[in-house]
Amino acid sequence: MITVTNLTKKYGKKVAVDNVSFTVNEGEIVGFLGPNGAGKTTTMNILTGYLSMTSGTASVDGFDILESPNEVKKLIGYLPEHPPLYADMTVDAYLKFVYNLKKCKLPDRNAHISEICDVVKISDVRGRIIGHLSKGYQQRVGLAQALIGNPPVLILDEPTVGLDPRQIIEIRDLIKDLGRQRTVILSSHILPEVQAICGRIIVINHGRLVADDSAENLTRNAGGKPSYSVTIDGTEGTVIAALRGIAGVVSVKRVNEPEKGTFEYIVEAEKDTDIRKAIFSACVALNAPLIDIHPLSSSLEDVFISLTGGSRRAPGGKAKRSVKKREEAGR
Amino acid sequence: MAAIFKREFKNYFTSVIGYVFFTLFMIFYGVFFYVSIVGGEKSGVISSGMSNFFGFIYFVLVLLIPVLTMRLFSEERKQKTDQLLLTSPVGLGEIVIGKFLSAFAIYSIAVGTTAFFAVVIAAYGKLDFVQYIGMVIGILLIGAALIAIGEFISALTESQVVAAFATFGAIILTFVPVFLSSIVSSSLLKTLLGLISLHSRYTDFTSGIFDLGNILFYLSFTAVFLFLTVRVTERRRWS
Repeated sequence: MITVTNLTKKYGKKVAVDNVSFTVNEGEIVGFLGPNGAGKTTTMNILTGYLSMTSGTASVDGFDILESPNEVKKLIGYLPEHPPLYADMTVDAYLKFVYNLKKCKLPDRNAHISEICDVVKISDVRGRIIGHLSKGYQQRVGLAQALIGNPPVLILDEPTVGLDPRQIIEIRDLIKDLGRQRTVILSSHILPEVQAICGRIIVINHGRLVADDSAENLTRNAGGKPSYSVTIDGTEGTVIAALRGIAGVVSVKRVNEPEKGTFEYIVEAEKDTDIRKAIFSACVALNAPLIDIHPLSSSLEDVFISLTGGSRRAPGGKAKRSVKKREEAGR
Repeated sequence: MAAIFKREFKNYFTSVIGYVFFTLFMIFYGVFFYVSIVGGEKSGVISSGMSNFFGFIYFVLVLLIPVLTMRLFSEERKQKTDQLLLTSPVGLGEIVIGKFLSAFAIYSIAVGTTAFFAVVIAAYGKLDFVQYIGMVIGILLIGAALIAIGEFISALTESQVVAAFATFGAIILTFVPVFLSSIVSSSLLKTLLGLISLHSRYTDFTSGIFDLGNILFYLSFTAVFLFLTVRVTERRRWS
């Protein structure tokens, strides 16, 4: 549905997007993940035709964004980072304007707008001035705007920013729901969000694509050895010896003494081995009560940090440049 | 285009701008109306008041144009609503023309109110109808040209205030050839200044002369600035 090939965007000398390629199939919900300033918004702005690329191509449903921009724009509903709302219009007038602007030709305009208002739960504020609404409502009006005309592709740039926790969950469920019949690209720097909604994750850092995989694969591959936090009531020395004796255990480290005589250990196991049952048996044998055991799974968060933290040298790396400047100033 | 025109047109009245424009216009309108009619009556020739009146109205309208054009693009960029327009299946030309027409429609309504003046003259004196129509068309054409300049300047900045002052300055500049031609002695220079001046052509209309060249001059002037507005907005996508 969406094909991006060797996409590069430079702002002057700063490279915002650096040779990014990916495809999104019909019906997929893809998460764009990356720290602030990674190039997510720029990529989305190019896909929607707001910006032009320096080089590379982008097409939606076979239509090239440069050659037939209007065809592409018809297919896309876009919620930019700042919802493009006219603060002095009422919600109703605004949505009608968007409907006309997008040249939608649905049988019943009012019914369509009412339906969307119900879906994003803004029916009770339709008569109000947008500027007077709370951030959460404004965000939802922005989402409603993207849904007008039932576009088959939705591009949502940080759709849950500014919402309270309950609204975040509502919007996430809504996006999942919408994703059943549509292709959705959504950007976020909130990992659990992407993990909760998206089947596939594209990680971008400093304008480069650093990973493109399902959430499970990302955590599995980048995770390395599984480790567990184990809390056992028993003498430190004997417990460590017993744990070390278990087949598949790589290392044991005492980290804490949460209660007197009870110690917490981090036990690292070999890849693809489950040592939990063996730990239990070992404790029974020692007559040392097992208080707690839980896996320290390498979450997507770790993956994200390992993927995006490592490459400090990337183009436009602000941190490094400012350090350099400071050094120069010092001299 | 229709959607943009409609929204912009309504916006003049949901915001304060339309009211500011018409209030200022009506104040000057009333004062000049009084001065022209009463002044004309005292001097015994009512109909001669018309070209005086139009001279004033012309000046006021031209100077009020920045109020109409200042926010056309600058406000969209500031509020980031340009993202909605530019990612909708609408050509840039349609956006620019839709906005232009909305400002021009407001301007035309203001010009249209001079019909009241014409009716009063016709009832109590002698109305030179051809001259009247000539002046209306002239004012409309020059308004179109200046609105196009204003829209172009509005597309250059994110600040309404900057757009308003810059447009005001640009409109003042358009009078420079008029002033210059009144002080230079060379007749060649005078003709040349007259050719490039937006305003000297207006006098032809006031005497009821419909010169196709003049009409084309204003229309092409307008078209050039609308085209430049499209280009400058398009360029921003690539930078």
